[in-house]
Amino acid sequence: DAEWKSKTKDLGPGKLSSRMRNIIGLKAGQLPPWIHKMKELGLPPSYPSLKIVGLNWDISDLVDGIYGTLEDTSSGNSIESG
Amino acid sequence: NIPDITESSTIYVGNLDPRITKLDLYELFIQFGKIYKINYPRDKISENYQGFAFVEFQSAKDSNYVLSLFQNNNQNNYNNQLSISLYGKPIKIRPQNNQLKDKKNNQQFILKKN
Repeated sequence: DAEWKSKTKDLGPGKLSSRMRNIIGLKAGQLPPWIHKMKELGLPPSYPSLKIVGLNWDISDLVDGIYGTLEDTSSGNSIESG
Repeated sequence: NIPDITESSTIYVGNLDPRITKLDLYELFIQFGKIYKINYPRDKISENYQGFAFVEFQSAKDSNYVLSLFQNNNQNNYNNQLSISLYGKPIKIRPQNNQLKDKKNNQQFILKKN
């Protein structure tokens, strides 16, 4: 429904809210635990253009809550609002 | 090199802390693939979440990828195993049992389990 759509519209691959980082127990600057498996298996099939820190994105790009980005998607301009 | 573990696009997620919301599940699993639907049942009487969910991705490619993420597919490397703990509880990821596809069968599953 509309409420669910508005709640989920800013969520996506490469972005973790401070709530989610707390739930997972990630410290500031710490990468999510699945990065090393993604290195081994490759990127998720849904996101062939995903850029993530530690794989194909420079570590200096890491800021809290954003460990990756989807290039050239229609919804890609929402990243700044995160 | 992603093995076809399941034909279903749905995975079972268990050992969930009751503080986890459906939105939390969405935020976590959207990291691995595009989500079609999440079924996160509550107890009919207490209305508490029952500690498990079914996450349906848009395709079986996505669910196989997630199952592969949580599998230890390198016998020489014990650190290879991915574990994600939510509120300190390691979540369990399994292929969806085909018998569970139908919501009506959930009750049978609970009876069998106990």
